[in-house]
Amino acid sequence: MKISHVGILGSGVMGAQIAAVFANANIPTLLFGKEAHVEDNLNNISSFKPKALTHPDQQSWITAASFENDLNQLSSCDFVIEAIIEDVDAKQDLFAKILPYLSTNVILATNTSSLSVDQIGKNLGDFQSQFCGIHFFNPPRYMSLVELISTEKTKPDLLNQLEGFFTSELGKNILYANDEPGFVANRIGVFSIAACIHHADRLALDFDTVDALTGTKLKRPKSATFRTADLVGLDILKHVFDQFDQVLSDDPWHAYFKTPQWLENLLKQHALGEKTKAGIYKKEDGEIRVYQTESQNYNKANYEIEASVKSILKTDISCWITALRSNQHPQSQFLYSVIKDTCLYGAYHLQTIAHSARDIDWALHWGFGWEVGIFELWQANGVQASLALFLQDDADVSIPNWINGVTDFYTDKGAYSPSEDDYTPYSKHAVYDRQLHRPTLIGESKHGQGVTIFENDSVKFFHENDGIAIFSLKTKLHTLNLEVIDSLKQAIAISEQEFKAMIIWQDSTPFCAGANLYEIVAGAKLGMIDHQNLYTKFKKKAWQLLKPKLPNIDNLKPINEVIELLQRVLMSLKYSKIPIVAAVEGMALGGGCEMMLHCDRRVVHAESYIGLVEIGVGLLPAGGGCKEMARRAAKHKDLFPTLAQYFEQIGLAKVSESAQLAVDMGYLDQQDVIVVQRLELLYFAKQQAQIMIDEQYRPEDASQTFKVGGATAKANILAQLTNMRTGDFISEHDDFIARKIADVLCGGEVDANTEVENQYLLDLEKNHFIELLKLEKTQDRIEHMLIKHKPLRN
Amino acid sequence: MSQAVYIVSSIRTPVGKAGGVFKNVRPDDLLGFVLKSLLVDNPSVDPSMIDDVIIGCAMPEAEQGLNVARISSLLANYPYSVSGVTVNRFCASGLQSIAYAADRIRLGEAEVMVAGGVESMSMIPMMGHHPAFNIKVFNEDNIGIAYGMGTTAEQVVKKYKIDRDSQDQFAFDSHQKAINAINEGYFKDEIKPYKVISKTYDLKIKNILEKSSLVSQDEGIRFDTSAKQLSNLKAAFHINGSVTAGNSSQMSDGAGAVMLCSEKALKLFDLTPMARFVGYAVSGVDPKIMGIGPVLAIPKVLTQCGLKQHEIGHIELNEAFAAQSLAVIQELGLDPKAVNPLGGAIALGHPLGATGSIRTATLLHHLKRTNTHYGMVTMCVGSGMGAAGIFEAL
Repeated sequence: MKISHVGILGSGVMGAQIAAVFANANIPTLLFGKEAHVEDNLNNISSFKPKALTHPDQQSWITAASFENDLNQLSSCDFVIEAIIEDVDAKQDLFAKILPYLSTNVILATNTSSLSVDQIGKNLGDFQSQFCGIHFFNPPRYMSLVELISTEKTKPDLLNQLEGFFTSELGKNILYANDEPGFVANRIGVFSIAACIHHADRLALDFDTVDALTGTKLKRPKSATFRTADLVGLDILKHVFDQFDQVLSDDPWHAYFKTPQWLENLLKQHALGEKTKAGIYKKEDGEIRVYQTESQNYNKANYEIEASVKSILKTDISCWITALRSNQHPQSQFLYSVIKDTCLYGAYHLQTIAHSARDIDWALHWGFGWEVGIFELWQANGVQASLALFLQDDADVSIPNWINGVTDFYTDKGAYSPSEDDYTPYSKHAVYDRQLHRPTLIGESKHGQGVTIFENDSVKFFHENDGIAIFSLKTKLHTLNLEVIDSLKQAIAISEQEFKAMIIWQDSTPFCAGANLYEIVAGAKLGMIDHQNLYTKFKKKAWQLLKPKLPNIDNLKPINEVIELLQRVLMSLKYSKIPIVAAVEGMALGGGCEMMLHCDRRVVHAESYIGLVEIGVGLLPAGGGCKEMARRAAKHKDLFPTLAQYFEQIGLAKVSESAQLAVDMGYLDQQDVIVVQRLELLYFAKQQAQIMIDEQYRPEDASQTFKVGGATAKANILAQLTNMRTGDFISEHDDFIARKIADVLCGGEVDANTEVENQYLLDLEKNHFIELLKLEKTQDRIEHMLIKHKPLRN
Repeated sequence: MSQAVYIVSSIRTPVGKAGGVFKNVRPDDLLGFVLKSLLVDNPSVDPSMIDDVIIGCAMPEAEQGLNVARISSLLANYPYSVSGVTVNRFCASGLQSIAYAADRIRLGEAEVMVAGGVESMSMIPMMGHHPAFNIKVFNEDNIGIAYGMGTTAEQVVKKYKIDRDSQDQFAFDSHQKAINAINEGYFKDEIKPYKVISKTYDLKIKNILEKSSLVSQDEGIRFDTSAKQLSNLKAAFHINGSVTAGNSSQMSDGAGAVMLCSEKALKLFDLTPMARFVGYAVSGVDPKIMGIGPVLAIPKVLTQCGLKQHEIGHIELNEAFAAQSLAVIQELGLDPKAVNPLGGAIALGHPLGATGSIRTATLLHHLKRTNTHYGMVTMCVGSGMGAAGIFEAL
């Protein structure tokens, strides 16, 4: 059955955002709220931050309806989700009220993060078999995890059907959870926060120290523990703690769920976290301050991470447990204790809350952004060896019986399931057939490897016996370095000889964050901008002494040669004999955007953030990005309005907030395909490649000329810039760079509508790029980005 | 030897906010309506005796393009023999047209003239639909031409040291004076209520829906504004600036027109003049501080006419920006009480090319009402000019 009309009951923060998830997928959605607020509720959907809608136009899929007057419209819905306040009685009452209006085949669901689904649905009568629980994470557009919870009465194929729908049509990652408090993700994730609070208190560590320890260093999100708590809302955290405290009285770790006094104090001050602009952290005078439990004031963050702890976290995760345990520093003991508790907690409750170890680990990956789940980490350190250490420290700790016989949580056969006492393979649901490289956990065998054509430190080039070659980057954030560019050139040449098509695809997000800035600034600082001979050992040594933070430099080429090479390679993406498809997800910035623009087609995940952002580092797009945008503008009869828009985008380093918005920005065109499920990208990329093969693809004529705006268009842009600069809205350097961008986009100061060729604009790009790179202010911007990871306004 | 020029009628439409009541009303219709109203108000005048129709428009293109003066005259059923010409001196266009028309009569080459101005900023944006600067502006240091009007206002702020509070107070006063004028019914004589007819497809009734409404009052006045509200607005043209949307003129739609006659025509058609056209002058300034234009134009016209500043009892100084208005008042030592007693463009709106004719209507009716002898309409003009015209009430 195809779900074609959805009803969302409740238009609060969750209800409205869930409605937006369906609207983003072009599904007509009725959003029910109180009569008095119906219109406001609709308008609020466009004001969520981060944005709930992928494009303002998507709102038209949502129709506001009122509980008082419009319940009869529910009969048109084949899927109804209740998302009102977390109160069993209120939810039951609402269901009782709507039952008479439902169509007989409707799928009914309650969205809850903490209540018993069974309880909520107990009075549903015949509808009980069509009823289940859904747990969306907040914000639902951006959080991929959705937990589905069946009751004893839920008919067996209901969740199966929803799994297919949520996965493919809404792009979500589905986990089945048992009807237990907190389901899977929150049960373990919130416990981890509780364990951090417990051990931080025991070892007298400050909030900011804990966050520094439990963030990216521990392969978890930057927001770590307490910043995450602020984002979630401290009132909500307390609510979950209270609920666990109440219903988990038999839990051996029950004491951890007691709300600490400092949290009570903060709540009393109405410091609820991000939403009240004060919580555990607070921004004051442009500076982040952290709450002090004793003085109840906010002080400047002042943590220091012990060097020995830092170096342990830099080693392979398989050494962490032993090394952290043996280091007596409180920070090390803290991490060890938190890891130990969370591992044991997960193991102890696994059989009750989930089917296999995999469910918990994926819940942590998808729901909490952890890169390594608890069972992955535990197994990497040795299941029995680590258990022995845990028991040495805590002989009375509760452990499940099954664990004594288990040497691995993950094997080639699958993930360990205590209820089966065996390893359970991945779901064979047909929806996963499109996930060609479905991700796996550490210890599991990988899905789909392909046949390697060549591989080096920066790229992997392979195929899967279907005549289509796949080019994947291995660099950090998939940036473009010299090796990538050289490899891409080679890959295109091989593909033209031996394959029918080529795809640029990454096996993890993002598509490409841009050019490797380190190589660029190193080349500039060493005087290798347009000559090799200015490079001296003395300069190299002096610069490395000055910038010890930056990595080693070797095999650099003069920048002008690199730019020429990049331009040639990207041009050959576009004009090669075979079709080349870019499979884009996440960031496609700067050089990454240019690489994408030069492909013959783009298959793009709905959550893609695309932009030519070079001005942020004092440069302009010189890999054909300006040239491509000028060409695209030239397709319009009156090219200037489009050109002005493209100029503004590049001049202000604008990034699309979704794939749909990238279409408006001219980075994607009508033929490009937007994909909702990121794991289906390669499937659709291959499909598009095959379509182009079948259509007997021929490249465009590379010598085809196009018109440019010339002197008048440039003057119009300069007029805008003059006002922005005079009003001090942009810096002198911004103005200088923007004028260079304008010059390229307009084709210099030629007559309006002059026909030019590709190479003319590419040369303008290159020359301006080189000129900018020689400026100290540009070099400062690049270094600032490398060291501080944010743009410098100078 | 030049002959005297009399104004027998000076009328206008209400002024709508850009995107407001007149957003779908074509400017040639607004103007045509005003031109027609002139004939209705002066039934004794033989229309074929009108020598020419001179209309000011600042962005004469699209719906107000193709010589809107001629088109609207024809739409107003003026005889074919009555010609039309569109003139452009940006914000002074609607005053320039009156001066040109007066000159035809002064020379003795015309006996009856119609002059006016029109602008729909709803339909034609500032700078028009297709701006096209000359690159030489940037290469040859004529950069002031590229300055947006707001940018020039900030330059005036800087040069003449105008503070934010004075600007907000000036803006607030503009609204208060306009509210008072409305309450007193001062605009009733000059405004010709315009019937807006809209024709849209209605999604509910699945048919064309025709609606009509009569607009009889200026739309821009904010009855509920306060100095506090105005002071909270963000500077729009400089990151640390003081010129805001609240202390700048509004973008507007409107039209105005006057009928001018020689003494001979007055007698021929038995007309009673409301005023005499006395004189007009324009002058150029650095485009970067275009708002200061009246500082040159006002003394110039006074000298031309042999009048002293204090003899001008009522000055309609177009409030392009509170900042430039204050700078002009300050530099010339104008009597603030004589300036804009009925409010100005900050409250009443500024339909660029129409403003000169619209404010002339306001001035002439109020001179009569208050028994004031001399009055002036003056304004700054984009790309660096000032214009000023003097009228004598009869």
